[in-house]
Amino acid sequence: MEEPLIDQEVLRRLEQLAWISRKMSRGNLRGERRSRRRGLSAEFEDYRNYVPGDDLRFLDWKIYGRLERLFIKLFTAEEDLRLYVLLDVSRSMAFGEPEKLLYAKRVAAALGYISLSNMDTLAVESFAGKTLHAFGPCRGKGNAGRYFDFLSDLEIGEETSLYSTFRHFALTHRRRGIVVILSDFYDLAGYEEAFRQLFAGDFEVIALQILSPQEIHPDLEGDVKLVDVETGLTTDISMGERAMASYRKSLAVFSEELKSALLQRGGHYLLVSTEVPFDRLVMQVLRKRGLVR
Amino acid sequence: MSFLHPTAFLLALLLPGLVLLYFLKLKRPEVSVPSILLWQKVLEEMRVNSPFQRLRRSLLLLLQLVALSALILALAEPVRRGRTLAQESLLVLLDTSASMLTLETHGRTRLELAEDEARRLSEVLKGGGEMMLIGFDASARVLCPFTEKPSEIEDALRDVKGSHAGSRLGQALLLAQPIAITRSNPRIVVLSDGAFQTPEGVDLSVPVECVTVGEDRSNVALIGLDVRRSVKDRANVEMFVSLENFSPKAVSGAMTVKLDGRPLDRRTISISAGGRLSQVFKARWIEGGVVEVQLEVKDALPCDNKAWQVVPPLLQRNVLLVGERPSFVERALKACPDVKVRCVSSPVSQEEMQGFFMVVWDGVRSADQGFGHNIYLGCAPSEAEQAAALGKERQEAMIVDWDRRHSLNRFLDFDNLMVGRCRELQLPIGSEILLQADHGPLIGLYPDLYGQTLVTSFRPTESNWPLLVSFPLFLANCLNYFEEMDQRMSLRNMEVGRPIVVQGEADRAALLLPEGGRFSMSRSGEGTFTSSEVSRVGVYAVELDDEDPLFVAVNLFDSRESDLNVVEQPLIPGERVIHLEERKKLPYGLWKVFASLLAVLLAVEWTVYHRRWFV
Repeated sequence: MEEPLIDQEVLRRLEQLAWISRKMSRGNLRGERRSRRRGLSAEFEDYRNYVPGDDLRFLDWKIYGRLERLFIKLFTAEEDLRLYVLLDVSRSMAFGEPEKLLYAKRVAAALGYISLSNMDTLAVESFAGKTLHAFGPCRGKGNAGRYFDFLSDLEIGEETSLYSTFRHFALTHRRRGIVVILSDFYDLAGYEEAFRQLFAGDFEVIALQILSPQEIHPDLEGDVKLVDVETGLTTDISMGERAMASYRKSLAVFSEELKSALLQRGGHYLLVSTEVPFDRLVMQVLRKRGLVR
Repeated sequence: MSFLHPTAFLLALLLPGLVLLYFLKLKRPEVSVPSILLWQKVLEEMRVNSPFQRLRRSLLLLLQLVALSALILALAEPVRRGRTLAQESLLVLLDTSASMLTLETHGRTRLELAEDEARRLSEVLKGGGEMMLIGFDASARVLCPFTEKPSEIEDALRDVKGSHAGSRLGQALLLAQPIAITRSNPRIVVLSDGAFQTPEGVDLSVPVECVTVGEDRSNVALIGLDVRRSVKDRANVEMFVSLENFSPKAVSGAMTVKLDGRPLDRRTISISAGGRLSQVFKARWIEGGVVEVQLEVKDALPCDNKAWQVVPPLLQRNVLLVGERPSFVERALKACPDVKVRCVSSPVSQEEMQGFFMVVWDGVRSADQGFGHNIYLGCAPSEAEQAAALGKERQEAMIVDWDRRHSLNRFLDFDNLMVGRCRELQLPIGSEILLQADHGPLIGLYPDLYGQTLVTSFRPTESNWPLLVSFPLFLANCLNYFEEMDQRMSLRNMEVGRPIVVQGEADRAALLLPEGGRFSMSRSGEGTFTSSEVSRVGVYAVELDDEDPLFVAVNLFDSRESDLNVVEQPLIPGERVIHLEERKKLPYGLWKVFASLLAVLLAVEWTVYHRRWFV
């Protein structure tokens, strides 16, 4: 029997968490989190003067009786939060021990479960060269089983293309929300234009760069021919102390640039090693970053 | 530069192959990575940080190409032009003189160092050249004729022995130059410490390269020994010893004098730096023998620390004077020490002339002549084929010149001599002219059957000669000169390096060497016995049949040889002289250089490859 992505104990702890969004999103459905907008919840918030055209149902007749002035009652709006999970299933995600994709699935499962537990709307898409599979949008814990099955069934795709994926996502999802991207962000075409598409849609972007220990500390020696698992491109290199130091520096620069690109636009960035247990990532690291509570 | 094995350049065909191999490098193991994105940046960064990235990119290839080129050059055996050239005819002149026996600080003689250099020069034979070895000291000799076999050069070098003789490079050049000009591409190399007299008048059309061996060394030497019988009492001998310090420091030591092996005196001596010292020893010694002087100091050259001289026994000199009495001649002869003069006015019989060392014919002519030496004053000996003759009479002879180097003219000055009447003197072939007048010789000397014959074309009384001091001195010189001739003094004390030539009626002769050994002397067509040249200092003995041995003292007495400071004197002014130590630094076979380069390149390549510096 296939091992479940998340065991019950972890699920139980995840139910105590909730997403924190810095950008209040305008949900279509009434949710369980307060909105800045005045809405139709039962919780009174304020009064304002009546202007012609206001809904007469919200006139406060008691005040009119006392003061003979028309006031409209305002109530706190309650909106639902939309969580989008973009899961990279390109070939590069099949690398590492443990496999980066499996790790990403578990993280996606945990984050999605938090959302479902809080009656937030969850939508998940897997992508490689383009969007491959989508789940949702849906709400409520009742969808958790289907969600986990969806994740488990995801398979390795082809080459990564962040731009086309994000552009397609931005065009097809008009509602704002939190977009969690689980990827290694290895795209020879770069990620700048891709992120611009997302930020243009006013999404709150959280990027988790998932790397395996074998990528952070490659165990290579001698003269080798490196083969890109996605593109099939090769390059010859003779590994030595100098080459290794240069690689570490390049990785640091790559991650730092990725982080800067996100932070400058109000996004979030987190470099995740698959060595870190996914539940610890969600319940400690994300909580410490103020992304969940 | 030329190459001994140019065919090795065929290996250059391997160079394109090496480049091909470089591009067809061994297949590298493939390793899958999630993306080569970062690795491309790694490669870019490594290249950007390399100022000579193009060079470094193919550094290993360049190293391999240079290494292969070095290997090819090493195999081709390049040689420096002017040092060792293929097809060269090399004449090596090896100095074997006394100074070359100097012991250097590392325990080897200069001669051994020069031999090593000659062996290095014989590398020319590998290139198809030829080499000739000539040894020289006082004379030059071919040690090995032109050969293409290194083994023959080695054999010749093994047989080389240093001598105690002086060095005359001119002799060697006279021998080498005519041989060299018959060869194509000749070159002459002189291996010496520079202690030779710069040759003059030698043809230097073939280039001569001087290589100096050795370092400056300290030495004290005996530079002169003169033993004479005292003028006052000929039974006494006076020994004059001269020595010189060629060192930059003062030297102390001792000096011992022996007479026939018996010690006579021993003195402590001290000579200042570069100074000279003279010592005089005296002894009563009638019987004569060998005087030996030994210098007891520590220096680098032992052969000039001993000197010998043979002193003949004291002889009674009986002289017969035939002529009118009294005469100036009689008075002058009697003034000479140890001379017994018998005067007669007319010729005596031949039997009566026996036992006289010298007969003086003062204007008296006789059919007979003495059995010793004869002096004819204003007359001529009997008419014979090989005798002087007097011709017609002449008035007033003007003195033109005289032989100042001749022993008979020693201390004499004929400037004031005036001859009133004389006759024309006709001398036999081989005569020496001692005094020359405007019309011809006035005094001549020639050997005859019994001894020396001296003839003057004028009687002393017909000139002012008896009134001059030169007259008694001349007669005294005659006595001493004829005595030295009889006692073979010129043979008894000679310079090292010259052959011993002995005249005699003996059937056979042998030479006994000072260090032991006996050699037969060859007889020449002129009735003389000749030895090969004497190469060692010491006392030799010549045995003629059953006669008593004739001792010969052989000495160096050559300041140039004893001065052990290395002189770099060029044969041609301005030409550079190369010292051996400097020359050793000059590469002969340049293949060693390229082989070393190859080794270094391989080491660098190994390091670069394994440390992955630029790859």
